[in-house]
Amino acid sequence: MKQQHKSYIFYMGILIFAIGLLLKFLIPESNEAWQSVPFVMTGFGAGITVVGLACIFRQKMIEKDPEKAKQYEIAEKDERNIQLREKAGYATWYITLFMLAILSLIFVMLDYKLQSFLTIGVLLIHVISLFVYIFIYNKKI
Amino acid sequence: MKNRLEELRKLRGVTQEELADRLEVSRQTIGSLENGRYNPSIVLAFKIAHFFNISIEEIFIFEEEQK
Repeated sequence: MKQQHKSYIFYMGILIFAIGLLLKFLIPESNEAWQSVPFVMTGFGAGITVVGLACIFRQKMIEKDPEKAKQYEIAEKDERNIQLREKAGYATWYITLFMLAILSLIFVMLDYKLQSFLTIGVLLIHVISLFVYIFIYNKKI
Repeated sequence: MKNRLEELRKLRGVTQEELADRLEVSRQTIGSLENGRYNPSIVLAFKIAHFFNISIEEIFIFEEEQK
């Protein structure tokens, strides 16, 4: 099951990379606004592919060594590690909020309307997602 | 919350690694528990109590926060 999940990341990276390459040839040079999209997509795709490859290699290494597999499983399920990840995630949420707020402010001050609109939109989604997850977990726990 | 984990573990002659293996947690978790930096879940507290064959209250000392 885990192996399938790791392979999925790898193939997703390849797909994004391929779409990026394809867009490079499909987007006409006259369309200046979309010229950066293929580069962003190929870069993003290459990054995900490398992460997927690393996950697959790690999984293969674990499968060969049962002792390592057990240690890996313990580290994954260890309740203190889970709490550490949750606390780190919560702290990161605040840092992202702060960075998005600063970025929004800079864009507003520079009078970059589209960028301001997009950043404030992402900021709102970021905040709303917290309340959505609080609502979801409130029902589950 | 204080605990007697280190004392009980040493009495049993068990290393942190061995205890971690038996409880299926990381060695760092045992270290943090012994230092009092981390309080276990009720499930882990029961597992520890079962391992030492004593009650939870004999391992973990609950102290109400002073106002």
